[in-house]
Amino acid sequence: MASAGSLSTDDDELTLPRASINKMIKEIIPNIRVANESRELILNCCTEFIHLLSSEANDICNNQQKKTINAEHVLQALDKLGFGDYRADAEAVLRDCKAVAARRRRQSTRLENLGIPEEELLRQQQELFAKAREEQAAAEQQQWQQLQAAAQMVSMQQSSQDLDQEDYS
Amino acid sequence: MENVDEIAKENSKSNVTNNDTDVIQEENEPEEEKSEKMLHLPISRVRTIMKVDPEVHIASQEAVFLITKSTELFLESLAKEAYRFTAQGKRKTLQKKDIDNAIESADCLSFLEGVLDAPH
Repeated sequence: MASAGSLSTDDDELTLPRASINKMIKEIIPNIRVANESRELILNCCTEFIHLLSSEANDICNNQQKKTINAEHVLQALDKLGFGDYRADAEAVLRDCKAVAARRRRQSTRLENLGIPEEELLRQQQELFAKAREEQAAAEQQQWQQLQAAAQMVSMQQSSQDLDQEDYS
Repeated sequence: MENVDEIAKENSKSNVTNNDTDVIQEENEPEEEKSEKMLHLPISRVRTIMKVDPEVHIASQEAVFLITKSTELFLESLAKEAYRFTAQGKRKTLQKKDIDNAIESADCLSFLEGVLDAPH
């Protein structure tokens, strides 16, 4: 249904998923038949709108000497293009989304979300590295000592064997 | 030794430089999926469409979110406006001429003039 997997090589055909558009149309005007041609047209209008809005936001961004288009640029673009009445709704949904995201971050136990400042994390990391190095060094030292002890034992056995053999020669 | 590896992995994944809780983290794909639940249209697709224009700079996650939401609101306006003409004509099927009329009825929709006739 929706052309999710297929990335068309023709840029002009890069559009929003038909299924989403159809679903939205159905919710907006539920009991009305919409000709397929009309759906296609609405789809194209939406794509054009995206280009229009991002282009305007881009201009505003450039005028402010910024490198990244941010939320404020988009909101100003809406005003400028005569879609100022979208602003309130759009901002409201953005706030909701951020609130949900913030709540999730608070509940998250992932390292970057614990709110531990970077310097502290670095310090802890250094500590763990140092500790690991110490343990590694100690383990190597022990291994070396064991090897030496074993080597000594072998050479002692050798020499006592030699002594034994001398008795028989 | 295992401790060190785990911490190293965690730190290479994490973006500890971004402590700005006001901004939706950009690198965080799960966050993007979650915010999509508030929208009908996929943010990632909108971002791809934006990138078709070579002059358009990178946009923040928030910006693309707003553009996506605005597009939804736009679709709603356009459909409702077109339907006005369908109802006026006492028809049950929304046709191209309804959309045409809708485009002409509002100044802010003038950018769509000619879009309906573009070869596709």
